[in-house]
Amino acid sequence: MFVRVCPYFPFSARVCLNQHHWLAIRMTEEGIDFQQSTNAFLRCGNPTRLQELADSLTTQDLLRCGQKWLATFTPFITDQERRQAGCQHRLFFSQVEYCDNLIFHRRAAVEELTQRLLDLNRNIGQPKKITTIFGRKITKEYKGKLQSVIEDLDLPNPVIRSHYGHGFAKQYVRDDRLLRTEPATNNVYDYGVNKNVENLPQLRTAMSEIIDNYHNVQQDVLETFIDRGQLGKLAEPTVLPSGRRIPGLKLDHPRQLAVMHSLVRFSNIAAGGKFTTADLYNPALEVLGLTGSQYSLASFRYDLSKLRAKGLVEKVPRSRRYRLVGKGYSICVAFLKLFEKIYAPLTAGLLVPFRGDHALAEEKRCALDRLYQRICDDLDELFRAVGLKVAA
Amino acid sequence: MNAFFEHHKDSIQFSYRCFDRILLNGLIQPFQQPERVLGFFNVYRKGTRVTRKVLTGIADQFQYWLKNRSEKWGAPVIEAPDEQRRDAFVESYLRDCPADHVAVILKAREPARILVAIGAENNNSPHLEFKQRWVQSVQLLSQR
Repeated sequence: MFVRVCPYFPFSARVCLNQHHWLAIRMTEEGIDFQQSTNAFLRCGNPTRLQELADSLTTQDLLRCGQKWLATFTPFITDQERRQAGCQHRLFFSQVEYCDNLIFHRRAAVEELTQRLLDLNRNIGQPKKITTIFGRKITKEYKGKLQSVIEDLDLPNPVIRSHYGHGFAKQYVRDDRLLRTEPATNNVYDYGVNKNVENLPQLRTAMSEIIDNYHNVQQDVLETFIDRGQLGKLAEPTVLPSGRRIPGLKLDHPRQLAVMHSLVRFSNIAAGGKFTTADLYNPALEVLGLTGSQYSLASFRYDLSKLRAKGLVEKVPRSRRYRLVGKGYSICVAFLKLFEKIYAPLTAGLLVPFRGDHALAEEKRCALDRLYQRICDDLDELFRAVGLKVAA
Repeated sequence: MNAFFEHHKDSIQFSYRCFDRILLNGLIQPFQQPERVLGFFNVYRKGTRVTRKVLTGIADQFQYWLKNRSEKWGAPVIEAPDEQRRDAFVESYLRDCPADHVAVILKAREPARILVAIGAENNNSPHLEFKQRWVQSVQLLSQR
């Protein structure tokens, strides 16, 4: 700790405490094995007791420690004057940092996680998210900084810092295995807590809630279905070892969808999951509404080869038969569902809507129409959330 | 326990939460208004007039006291370095210092709100006012 005293009247002072050092002394006294790296514990023989000790810091500890030193360092005032005139320092929060430390088993796990967090959380400073994290509503009267920045502070990993009011919440990795989330402020009013040091428990609760909110928001982002390139890879052409280039899968390609239709037929399952191209060809023609001269078997095989190249269909060894492998069935169903149940009807509804539909009362529209409308509305909301403008 | 921790708990060896740094402002409330300072001197210092000389004398007295204590505690008085973080600079002093002892005293120029007496040097009843001034503050570091 340090005490900074102004030697001039009225002897204003500052007291700075570091709870990591405070905890280190307590753990040494209790004989707990630990490894400290300046402002962090990387190893602890009794983490439960460590947390108990951390929570045991009370207002009285701060007052006892601060007042003792401040009384020593202001010799101008006598003990009698302190008692009678109340000439002793009163302590108020000036700057507070509260940290959550997650120490991982492996360095690789933290690195992988932080890379994803950095990538996915770049939008965490949006006003709505800040409201979620800090639990304070952002109104038009708000004058403070409101942004997220990724900073390189000579640490091995960048720091994500989300500003709010007179403070911020930051997250970074230190000492390879420790992921730290730390809200800090220069004005505890930002958290709805008064500055008097007696409000330490309320401050701890408020800052702890900020950390929980920060983590929950991040988990929301991590768990969301976000494109990580898999769809793009399916759409990319495949180059075989022989050098032959086979086009990728296209979500809106009618022939591609017709092949998928023929692949997911239940009759194939009944046939033990194996089929010949001849078995699939006719159903594909039916789906397309074409004749054999318009869509040849060779063309069909060419389209099937695109799925084979992506490893969704394979040829059964020593046979003319094929079978779906891995996630082949699920991918085909997903493509078909997306196109036929989502893209096609939504596009029709958006580009050529039935004029009378808008005039209809909500309850008079059919259930399917209502559901599609809800998807349109939710898509608008999603576009806003991910930063895309809503189509006019 | 939040969703993030719950999701990653298998990869986490242990976790803890604590205050990292708590910076407290210390104010002596009876000295925050010039009138109350005059009242203090009237009641507890036999009506001593609060002049420029008296205020300077109090600051000088503090410096003498500090020098004396520095020798008694064995804590050197050092100018704070500009180019190095103070935490890193004082680390070696703190390491060797027993608990509840002052390890080192740092001096640095910093802005502070101080009481000044406005008027001539021999004015026995100057106007007292609080002003923001750059002063030589004293930082005492201890292992707690």
